[in-house]
Amino acid sequence: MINIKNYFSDNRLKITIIENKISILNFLKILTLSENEIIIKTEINEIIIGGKKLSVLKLFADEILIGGNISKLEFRC
Amino acid sequence: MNSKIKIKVIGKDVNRFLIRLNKNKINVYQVSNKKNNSCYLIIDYCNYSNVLNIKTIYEIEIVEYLGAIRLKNNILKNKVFIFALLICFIILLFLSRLTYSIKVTTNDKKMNDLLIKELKEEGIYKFSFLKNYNQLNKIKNNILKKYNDKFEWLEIERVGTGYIIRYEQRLKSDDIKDIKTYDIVAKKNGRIINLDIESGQILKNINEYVNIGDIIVSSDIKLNEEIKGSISAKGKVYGEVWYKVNVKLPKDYYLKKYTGKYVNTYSFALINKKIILKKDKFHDKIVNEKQILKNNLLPIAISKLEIKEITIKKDINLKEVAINEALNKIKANLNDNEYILDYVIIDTKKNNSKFEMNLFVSVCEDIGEYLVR
Repeated sequence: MINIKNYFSDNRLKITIIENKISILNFLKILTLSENEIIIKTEINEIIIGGKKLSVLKLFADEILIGGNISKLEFRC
Repeated sequence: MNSKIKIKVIGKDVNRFLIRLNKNKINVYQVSNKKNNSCYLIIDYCNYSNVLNIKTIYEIEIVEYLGAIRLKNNILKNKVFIFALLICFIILLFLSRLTYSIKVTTNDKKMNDLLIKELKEEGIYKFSFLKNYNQLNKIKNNILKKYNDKFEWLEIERVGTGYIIRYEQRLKSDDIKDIKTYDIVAKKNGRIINLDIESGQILKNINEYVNIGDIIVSSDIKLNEEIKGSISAKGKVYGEVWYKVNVKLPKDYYLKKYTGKYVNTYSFALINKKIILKKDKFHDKIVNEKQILKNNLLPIAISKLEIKEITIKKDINLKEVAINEALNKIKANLNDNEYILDYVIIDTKKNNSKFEMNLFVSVCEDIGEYLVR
């Protein structure tokens, strides 16, 4: 059965990687923000993005778009 | 509309500031030129005060306004220029609706002068407002109707800010001979005063009384009661005719008299406010207003005002006024050679609200008319 609430307000974590950009939807907060490492806390884990010249391109309350030379994507429980 | 601004953030570590913005749920639409101690952010204009509240040691500077707020700011910044532009546009609109040239394409000076005079009376003259197609048609028809004997055809064409007038003169029908034979008969009861007869046999003499239909000048030439020939009667018969005139005036009748002083000005109406360019200092006045510009889309109207000063005279001789009014009533129907001979007051009545007078007026007028045999 389709959950209508979820259909209209999807709170699930979504990560999209396009070339050298990462978009994370429904995150909780940013723990670390630097040129080499960005750590983002979600409901289920922490996402560690590693690389060089990392920068935030867009930043909404629950969505972040990160650009730069991304070399690592790690999930830490 | 959601307006945005571009701000410059300068501080020790702008990444911390970004985290702070995220904690406070402030959306950042774009981060650009990011360095360690400065960056440019695009945020909602409504969040700007929140950003200032959380900025602490960071320096915030608005670099650019985007969206509706940018338009609003530009309008406010250039308000003098925009206002001047609007005024220029109104002036241009006003000037483009004026007449600058009236060209009549025919060389008959007398007719041209007559036409230009008529056009002036109809409101077409230099620096008057241009007329639309329907108004031009109406003016054209009025002139053609008034000068039916002079113009065969008339065209008023609006070209830019002027008019080109073309016409065809009507050929006079004088040369066409009337071959009918006429008698001159009385069209009114009266006493003959003067006979100015070119042809025909006079049957009634001066001081003779005639009734409607009586033959005054006959086309039959008689000798000893025998008709010797026939020639159409031609001429004028002036006779004394009588009229009874009744004049009623209100008892509180007052007389308005123009002093000759006047002010020509314009008024601008904006919504329900009216601005008169040149004010008058007249105590009593009559204002003739002619609307020259009105737009249903814009709440503005421009009118031409003719303000004439008048004096109001209340203490007047009602009898004199009533006589003048009665005589003017008669004069209005008289032609060039016709005039009032005499008058007699029959009676006057006064009651609470009215003054009434009956007059007997004798008039010298043309009482003859042609009747075909």
